[in-house]
Amino acid sequence: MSKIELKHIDKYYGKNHILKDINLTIEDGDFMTLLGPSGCGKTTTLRVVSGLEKPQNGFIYMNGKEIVNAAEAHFEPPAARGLNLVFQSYALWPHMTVYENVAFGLKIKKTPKDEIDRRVASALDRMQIGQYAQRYPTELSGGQQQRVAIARAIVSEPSLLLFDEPLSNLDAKLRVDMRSELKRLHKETGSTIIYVTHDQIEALTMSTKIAIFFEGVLVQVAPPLELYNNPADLRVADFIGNPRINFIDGKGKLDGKDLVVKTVDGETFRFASENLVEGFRPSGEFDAVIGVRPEQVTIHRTRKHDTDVAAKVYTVMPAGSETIVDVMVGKTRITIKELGITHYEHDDIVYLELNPQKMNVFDKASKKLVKYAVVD
Amino acid sequence: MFTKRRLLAALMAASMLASLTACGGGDDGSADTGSADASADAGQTADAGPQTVADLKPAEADMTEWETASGIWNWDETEDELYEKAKEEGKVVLYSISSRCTKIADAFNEAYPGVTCEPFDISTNELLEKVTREYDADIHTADVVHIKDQDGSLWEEYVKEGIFYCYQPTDIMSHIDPELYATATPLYIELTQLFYNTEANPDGSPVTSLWDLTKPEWKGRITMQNPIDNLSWSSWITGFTSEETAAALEAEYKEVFGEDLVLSDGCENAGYEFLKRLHDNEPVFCSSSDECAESVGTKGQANPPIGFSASSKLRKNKDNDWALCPVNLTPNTGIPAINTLYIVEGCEHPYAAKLLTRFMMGGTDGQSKGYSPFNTLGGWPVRDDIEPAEGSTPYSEINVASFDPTFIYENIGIVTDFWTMLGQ
Amino acid sequence: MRKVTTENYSKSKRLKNQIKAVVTNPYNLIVLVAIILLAYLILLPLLDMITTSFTLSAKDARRIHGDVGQFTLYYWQRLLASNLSKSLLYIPLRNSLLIACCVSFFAILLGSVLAWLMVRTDLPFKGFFSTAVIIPYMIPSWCKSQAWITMFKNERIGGAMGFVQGVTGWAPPDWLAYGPIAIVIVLTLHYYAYAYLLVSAALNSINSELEEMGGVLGAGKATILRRITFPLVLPAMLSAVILTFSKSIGTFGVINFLGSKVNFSTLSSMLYSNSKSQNTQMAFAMAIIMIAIASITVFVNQQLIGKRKSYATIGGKGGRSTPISLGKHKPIITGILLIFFAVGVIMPLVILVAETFMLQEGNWSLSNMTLYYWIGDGSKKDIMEGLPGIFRNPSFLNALKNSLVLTFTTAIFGTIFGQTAGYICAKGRGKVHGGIVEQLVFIPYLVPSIAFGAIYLSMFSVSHGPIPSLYGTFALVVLVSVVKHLPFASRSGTSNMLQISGELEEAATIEGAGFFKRFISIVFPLAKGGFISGFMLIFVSIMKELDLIILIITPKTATLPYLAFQYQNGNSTQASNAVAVVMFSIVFLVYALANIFGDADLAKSMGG
Repeated sequence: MSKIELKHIDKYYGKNHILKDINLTIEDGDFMTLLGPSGCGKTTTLRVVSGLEKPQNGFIYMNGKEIVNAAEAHFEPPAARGLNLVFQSYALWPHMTVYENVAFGLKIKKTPKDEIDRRVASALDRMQIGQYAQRYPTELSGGQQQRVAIARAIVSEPSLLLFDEPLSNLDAKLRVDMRSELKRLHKETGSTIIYVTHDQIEALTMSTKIAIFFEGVLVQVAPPLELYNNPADLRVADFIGNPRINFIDGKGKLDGKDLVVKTVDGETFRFASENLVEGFRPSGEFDAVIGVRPEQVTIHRTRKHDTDVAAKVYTVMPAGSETIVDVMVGKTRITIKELGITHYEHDDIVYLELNPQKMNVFDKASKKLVKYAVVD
Repeated sequence: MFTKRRLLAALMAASMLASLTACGGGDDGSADTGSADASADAGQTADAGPQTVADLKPAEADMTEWETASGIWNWDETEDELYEKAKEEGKVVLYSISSRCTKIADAFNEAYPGVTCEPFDISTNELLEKVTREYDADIHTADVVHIKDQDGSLWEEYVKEGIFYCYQPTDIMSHIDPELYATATPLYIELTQLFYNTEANPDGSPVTSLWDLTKPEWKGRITMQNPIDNLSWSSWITGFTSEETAAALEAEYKEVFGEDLVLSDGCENAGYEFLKRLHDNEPVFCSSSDECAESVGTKGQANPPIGFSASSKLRKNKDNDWALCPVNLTPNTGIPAINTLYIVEGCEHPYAAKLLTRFMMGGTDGQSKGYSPFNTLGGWPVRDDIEPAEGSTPYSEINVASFDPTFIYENIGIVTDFWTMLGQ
Repeated sequence: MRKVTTENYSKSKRLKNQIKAVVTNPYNLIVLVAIILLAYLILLPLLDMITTSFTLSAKDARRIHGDVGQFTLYYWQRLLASNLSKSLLYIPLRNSLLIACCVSFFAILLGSVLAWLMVRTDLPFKGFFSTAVIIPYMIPSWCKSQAWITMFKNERIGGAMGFVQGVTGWAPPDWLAYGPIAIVIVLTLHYYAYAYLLVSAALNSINSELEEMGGVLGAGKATILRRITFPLVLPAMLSAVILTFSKSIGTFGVINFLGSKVNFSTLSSMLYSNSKSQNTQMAFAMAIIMIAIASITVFVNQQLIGKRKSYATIGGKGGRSTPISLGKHKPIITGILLIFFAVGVIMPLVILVAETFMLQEGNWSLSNMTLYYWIGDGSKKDIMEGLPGIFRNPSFLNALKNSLVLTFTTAIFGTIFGQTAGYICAKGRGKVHGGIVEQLVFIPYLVPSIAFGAIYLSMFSVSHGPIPSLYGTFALVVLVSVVKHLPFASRSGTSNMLQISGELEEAATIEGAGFFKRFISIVFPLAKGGFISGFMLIFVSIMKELDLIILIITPKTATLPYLAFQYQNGNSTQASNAVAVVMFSIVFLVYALANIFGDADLAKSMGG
């Protein structure tokens, strides 16, 4: 049972500032995903928590106990932190059998032999690879190796489990299977998990919370749906969601307490004051960006409301359960996701129904969110 | 690139010429002139200093503790007296440049039970290196050293400095030419001799004079070792530049060619001139004395070379089925290489060391088994009461230059440089 | 925002923790010990060598009126700008460069072509060729020069007739029998093995799809070879160039045998002469110049390789390879190769072995054949002064023992140190300590063998602090061999260690395994193959080492190559060859064993 607090963590490699003042609290029992594009510092954060890297600044507390105090050069060794790590490459020792790989840590802790046997067997069974105990890692498939790596990590029943992009080497189908298995593992063991990935689907489907990183800065920490609906800034908005969020440039200004945005294509949207970010007080006109998720746009063949926006179909990409339709509104391209299979011809004129309630508005200058979307 | 190289070569040639003339003319400004001065100076000090081993003997009162205790200057003890005291010491350590030292040790151990001789067979450079390092570190392993004073440095740097002692028992020395034991205790004499192949030359040696070697028909047909590789060969060529040999060479030249010798640029005397012309005749350098001997002596050659080699190779003549024969060159065959014996200062077994020295030199009557292993073809005893090995030419009949350690010591660097420069 | 909380910050605690972290981590201690040791064993000798070349010796003090031990430019002036410079330096230097350039060129050409034929084409008898091709590497180069003289010797050096003259009656001219051409040929036949090993490793790592792609695009065989294959193996070829160049600059044995007959000297033979005639200072000044040349070569090479270095790993998995058909040239090329191996590899070996059975050298009649040099009882007093055949000769048995002890101890220590240094270099990539270690272990590579021996002789013949004088001890021979082979050993260690992903070790760290536990249960088992290859590399090299230890050896510590060299100098060619045959057999046996039981790969351990 573990609560982790990172305070003011800075990490440099030579002159490269990799982690910039990271503050992050992971509550006991959280499935915390560190998400971000490659090179954003998420893996480094994980390694700092594990103790494999020493930050130059900051503190880390585990259940209130100080495990890192960079100012005093105090770094608890990894093995004393009660955690375990699953590597991206699995890092299975090729010269040891599955059994030996899993038992290694227990042997070092001088666990009695029968206890080792029992726990290894239980860990292997839990990962459904009991029958491979005497094989060598090279004799196993990628998915099986992955399971060995997880078994090795959980055999010591750590209160904190760290995963470094564990599924990135698996094929698409296996990945989906492992996802649900990991989620179940989290439920059953109740241990805290920190999970690094650049795959947003993994992050959104498994986590209780997501911490999103850009260029060494922790940008937003939020539960998955909140992150999806109300990304803290343009970059997060752009990164999360597939297909990508639509951005529409425009000019915004306050009209009374409401926000009014006039897009480059001449449409005007009015956003109710209660959905504005607290303390947002622009003086006069500002450059605004409207963000609207593809599934929040409804497409009609005929105009249904006065506010509907006319558009011309650009491409249609049916994908079975859904159809992705790209349309042009003036010079802006909008991506729309419709459920089921729909048919449009190129250059058909269609009408888009856009609900200002379900849209985000960002300040282009600060890139920050200024208007929440309210999604039912 | 090419022009640059030519420029460099031209520069080097110019500087070489300049320095050659500088050398010859005795001008100032070059390293060699500096050394010439040095030799002059050293010569003066040598005149004033001790000339022989006996000159070094201090007054009774001035003797060091070890000198008194070891009786190293007492040259009149008998072998029995020495044996009694040696038995108390129990052993004696011999460092020798000869592989035959094990035979000597076996013979000694048989002759003097109770005193054990431990021989070490080491090559010259290593022997000196080892004994010097040990002496500096106060380790007294070696008692007796058997070596050759090739360049006079043993006399100048070891004997005069009191690191090595020359033990010269009066009765034995009475059988030896005083010139031979002036600066060392001599054991036996070796020479660097010219050999020819008797099979190819049944009528006798094709050459008789040193100057013959400079004739065009011997171009590339003379084997020897390269003096710059090897101290004993560099001291041997230095010997030719001594005043005495140079004068003899000059006279010899007239004898051979019927005209006066004209010295080339940079050649101070006939000795240097001889070396220059020898070098110009492109001798073939062998990597060992054995190789030189083999190249000359091997039978079945239609046109074998002639070559210089250590006289001791003559004893391998029969073993290897060679047809070697030495030439008694005129005016002489160069300086001798005298094998010498020293006792190391501060050694722990001085009486056994003195006993071993006597034993190796043949003992009172010259009949001890300590000398016989050295009495082979190509090695000459220094004592007049020891017969040379059967088949040897008597030493007195061989033309040999006299060995002046001080001269060699002061000139070996100059002559070696001279030889090196000839290679250019 | 960025405020480091200073509430519980204590400087003393920080210091305490830092010291604790450094001291309790064995890795740090090992790095520290390694750096101190390397500085002592490599940097100090180098400095000692430099200062010695500026210090007046007793021998020369008498010549120039100086005090012994005073600072002097005498040696450098003599070497660089005196009337002796031409003989002492410029001519030997020119010769050294000439030999090194020619040997590098021909050896790389030969090695690369052989490697290409062996790896890439449908050449027949590959099994035989691939063994034959590395045999020259196992025979000491001076043995080959010996074989050369036996073949081509003419009247110039007298003695018994050469094989060629004996059989054909034609006397080979001087320029063929001795001197630069002979030296270049012998050294090329010796050193092409480096290029062969490196280039064939590079070729093996190139996926043949890269070449096939060229074929798909319509390039002809020659174009593929020139535009695709050649640039890809160029880094390996350049590596082989440095190796060959610096080796041939530093070699002495061959020059001594083949050069001295025509008064052909190189820097290394000059260095040997000076060292033997106790001109230590001059010898060191020459060594420094040789080091400078080697450094320049390495520097130029690094500039040339530059970014291309990464090529070597391209398509590293490409085990799949479709051999290129030699077509109608196949019989011709096979024929040429067979002749090459017969003349260049088998013949010297056969001559070497045959001579050991000849009672009298050069007499090829059957009645002259004997086992006397092998097992003779010493009854023939006229042969080798009554010394028995080598198997009954105590000095041979002593040298055999010494050689085995030397090669095994050196190979074991060298491998351990090399792999440890390699571990530090691999783990410390991009860090200061890794850089320091990498630079330090590289230095012995630049120092010519013979100079290296000379430095160690002078440095360790007096006691330094707690280290006693090692002069004449076996320990010194081992020490110098280990240190001189560190560049190779640590290179093979680095490439070996780089193959072990850091995560494997980190996984163990997480499990609570300490440094030693990690090293023993993770690193070592995984690096085992590399250990064996590294071991082999040092073993083969030390077994035939002569240049490095010739100045340090004493009769008590003599090794087989030294004994062979001595016999040769003492004119007992047969005995010398017998010793060489024993050496070769040992090397070949150990190599075969390592190949069968461990996956030793000489090429891999050279590390490109």
